[in-house]
Amino acid sequence: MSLSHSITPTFLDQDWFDTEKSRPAKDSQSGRFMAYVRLHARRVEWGARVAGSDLVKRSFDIVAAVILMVLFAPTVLIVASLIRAGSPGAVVFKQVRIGKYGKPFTFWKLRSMYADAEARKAELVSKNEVAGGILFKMKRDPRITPIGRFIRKTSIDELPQLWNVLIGDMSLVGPRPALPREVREYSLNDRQRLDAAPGITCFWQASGRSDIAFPQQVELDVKYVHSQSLLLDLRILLQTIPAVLLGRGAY
Amino acid sequence: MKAIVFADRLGVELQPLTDRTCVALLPLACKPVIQYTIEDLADAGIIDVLIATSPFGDQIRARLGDGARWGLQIDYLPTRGEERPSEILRRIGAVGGEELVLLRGDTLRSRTVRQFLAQAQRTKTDVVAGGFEAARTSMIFHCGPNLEIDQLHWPPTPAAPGHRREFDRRTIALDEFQSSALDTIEEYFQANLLVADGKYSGLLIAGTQKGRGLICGRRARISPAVLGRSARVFVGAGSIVSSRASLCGRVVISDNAVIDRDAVIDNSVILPSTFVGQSVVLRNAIACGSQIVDVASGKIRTMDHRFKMVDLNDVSLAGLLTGAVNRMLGLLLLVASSPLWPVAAVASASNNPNFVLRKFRIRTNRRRQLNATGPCQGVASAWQFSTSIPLLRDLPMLWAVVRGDLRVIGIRKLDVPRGRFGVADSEKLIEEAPCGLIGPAQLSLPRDVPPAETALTNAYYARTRCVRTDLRYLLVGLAMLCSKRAWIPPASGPT
Repeated sequence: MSLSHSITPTFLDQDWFDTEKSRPAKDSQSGRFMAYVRLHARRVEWGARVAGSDLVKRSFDIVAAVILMVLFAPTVLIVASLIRAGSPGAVVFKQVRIGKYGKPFTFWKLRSMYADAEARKAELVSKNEVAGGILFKMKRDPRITPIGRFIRKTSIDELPQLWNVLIGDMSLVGPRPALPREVREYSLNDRQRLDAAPGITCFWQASGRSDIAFPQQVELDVKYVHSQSLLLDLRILLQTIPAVLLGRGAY
Repeated sequence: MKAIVFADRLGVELQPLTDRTCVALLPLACKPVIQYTIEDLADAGIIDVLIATSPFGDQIRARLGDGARWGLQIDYLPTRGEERPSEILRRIGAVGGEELVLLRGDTLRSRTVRQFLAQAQRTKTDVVAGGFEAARTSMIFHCGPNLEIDQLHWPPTPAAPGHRREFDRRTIALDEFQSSALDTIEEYFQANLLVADGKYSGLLIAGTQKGRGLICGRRARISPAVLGRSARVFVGAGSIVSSRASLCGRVVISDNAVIDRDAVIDNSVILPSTFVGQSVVLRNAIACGSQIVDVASGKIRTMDHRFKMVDLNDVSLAGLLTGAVNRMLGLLLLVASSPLWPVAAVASASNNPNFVLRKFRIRTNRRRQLNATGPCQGVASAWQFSTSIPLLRDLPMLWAVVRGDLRVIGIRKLDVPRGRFGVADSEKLIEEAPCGLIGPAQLSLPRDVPPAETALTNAYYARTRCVRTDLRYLLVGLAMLCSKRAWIPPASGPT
């Protein structure tokens, strides 16, 4: 038996047919004209809202990414030469990560581990310090190069992601991009964090970094996705600066 | 294991909601019906999904994509619409091969696929049904050559009694199973309210609780003060509700809607992108574009003025200026062509000494009239010179452009008998497209083409027209002023 019987629509009276009754006489030409003007004004506002909010975020991302790339170019060059000198291998490290709505993209970082890091990971799984089993992160990971330790603590290794932001795979602020391996284990609820473009900095990273457990990360990410606005993004960015400088939780 | 989702309902029983979209994409608490099924399948661990689509299949494809969002791989199969599931399976050759789970994507179920599959795979029969409610089966697990799966056919046909009893033995009862077939306007309305309330177990709601009785989607703008005392409201993503509106009872406002001040909404569902204007009252109704559908009686009422209620996708700013621009352009062309008028008059007089100007009827953009089948374009008078040189003959029609009856670029609808309504979709499109002095058929097709091809070109134009295409045709038209076609009479009769 369907549930339709549990709700009975309340019939008040025949008034629903008469929308004229509830309004003073508006049949004058000027009244109608003003109503059309109002309709078109609302339409403009609607168009701006529907297309605009994504456009605003994207424009802000592009402008800020260009500025930051210019500002940090010397730093990146110096660090790149140090990485080159420190250990053999490429300077940038690329990975496939999952972006908005599950679409994979190439993710860039400065290399902070030895070239055979992925191979050594299997031995270290038992030392995983993030509760929740899906992510893998631990302090004092022996696969990290000395220069790597420094750039991870100061988050300089994340700078190549500005390129991802410029081409549109990522945004400045958003949930952290997840690995395909992790996303495969996601529950339906967890997948909600894929509804926004991933970001260089995120909601919980600006306050507590990687110290919180995975389910809490998902919860905060979903909360961010639901309440995203330019003001919120700016606030998170402002909070990111002290968090980065103090190197809280990045290891 | 593969899933086959049937989303090919034609939606006749849910008109006018299904005029522009299919049943599978109708929103239930701001999420399309088919998305609940997709999420259910993702939750049950199925990766391979085939969706059988029919009307508006391209919309379903645009909405769901390739399924990466849910970790699925979705393929699409266009069908004729409401085909028998056994026919579809036979056609794609999926008989007796891998295990299949079959469901409908255009009806609603609570989240039970995982539970159903766990039990179904344990049985030894090759066709197992599950989720039996209101004389309808909701899902079928299939792993053998037996094609008795037409329980999922839409519209459902009652099976013979003996047949029914035989099938009962192969049906699994599921805990906490709720379903709605969405077969009437009232069912759709109730399903909307129930899903918004969270009464369907396991379904993910596209909104967060923002206060007592208020659930909001992303970037919805509503102040809790507009809610009546025991109101329960669901506001979709991007919607704006004026602080002077009032909402009472159970209300579901879909995505990107705008509710203007002093509007009263009581026990109603507002479909996406609807503008509900100042002081409009909606009670026990579904608001769909400019139409109000009364839930209990199914009666449809069309708003007489667009500023009261309209689908905001239909309100284009270009439309505001188009009328004025076309009339000015007509005036400009009229003035520019004034040297040709005496020439045309002489040519007509030599062709036909009795009358120089011929009066006839055209379809007009300015007036609308009511017909047996609804409102349609009205009729006005226009003139032509009675010469057979096309350019000179049409000069007086520029006066109709200046009057506003015709646009410069549009579909040429001359001498169309009043009240003729096309049955095919393309004819209906042509009927509703703006009338023009000259159109794509004259500018891009050669002269002697069969009327069917002209109709096709016109229908394509009607579907894809925009300011850019109109400008392009205008330039083509101006270039054609010097071409042979404008000056040499056609071999047989007028174009």
